[in-house]
Amino acid sequence: MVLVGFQWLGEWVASLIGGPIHGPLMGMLLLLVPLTIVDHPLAFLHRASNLLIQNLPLMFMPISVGAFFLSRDIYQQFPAILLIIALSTGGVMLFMALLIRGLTKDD
Amino acid sequence: MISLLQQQWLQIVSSSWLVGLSIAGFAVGLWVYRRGGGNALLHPILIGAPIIAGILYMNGLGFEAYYEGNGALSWLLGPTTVALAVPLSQQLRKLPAVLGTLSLAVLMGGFVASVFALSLAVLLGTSEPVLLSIAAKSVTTPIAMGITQQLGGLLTLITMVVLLTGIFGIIAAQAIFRLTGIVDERWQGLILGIACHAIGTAKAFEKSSRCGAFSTMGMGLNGIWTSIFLPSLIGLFLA
Repeated sequence: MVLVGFQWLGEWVASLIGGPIHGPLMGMLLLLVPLTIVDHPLAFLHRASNLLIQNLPLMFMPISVGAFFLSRDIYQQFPAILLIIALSTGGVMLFMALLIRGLTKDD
Repeated sequence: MISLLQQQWLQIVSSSWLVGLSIAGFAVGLWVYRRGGGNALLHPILIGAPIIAGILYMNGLGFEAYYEGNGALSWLLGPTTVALAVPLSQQLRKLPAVLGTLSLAVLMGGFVASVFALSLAVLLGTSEPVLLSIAAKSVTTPIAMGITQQLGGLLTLITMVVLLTGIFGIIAAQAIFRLTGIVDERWQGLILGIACHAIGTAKAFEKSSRCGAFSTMGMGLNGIWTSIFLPSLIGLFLA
């Protein structure tokens, strides 16, 4: 209930201030503040959070099935999409590795 | 606000037996994944989604009907996004002495991930819906879906793109760490979290809890950061 409450609070704040952050993410940020400040273990919140996060793939199963119902135009671009995923993911990992190596070389 | 709550309520009550089909497909996917020793190429979604799609095709059911019948499961993505605050707060509370490197890696890594993907999409001449649907590829799914919805991309495509990004990233990770001499597990975890979201974080936890903690931070902070800069950045890549 706490998570749902913060989601709705997030939706409300996001609709009030506009901007790029959508409701559930705003809810996460709002919950992050008290959780980071107050060092008090809320067992029920940890249990609910773990349960949801561990079963995350189940929740995006419905939308993932949609990948098999896309238009022919999108499927024709799939080789390009796979190439983008491979090159950009490999590229950014290499970039971050070199950046971190540069920043920590004196350690 | 009232209409939003009504909308969410309607989404939940429109659920039908098709939720059972999703759970069954997921259970089969999970079984195969575990039998395969947790091989990323056997991710429960990669196994379960085509099985469900096949059953829908065989029964003449369209995707819209299936998706509407799974309203409760899709609605749960909202509270799950909020739930990410719990592991993230646990890591933020013990903010490490490496705050400078960590912040710079998140800010630059998240930005470069989107710039690389968008530049390649423009270079390869993909259509606008594809371009809008790959921009948030390094962000964890519930946040990536929110960002993509806001950008006007295809939710059905971003979930698969996010999944494939994570799988490719964890396959390439060891070679990249070896090549660049990154041996510190904290930094390996951070890179996995920023570039490969939850799939990278799961892999990081297999190495050690310290590696996993840094990955959780990378994933969470990158999700927040990308949702801030991406809506402004995307305009530069649209014709």
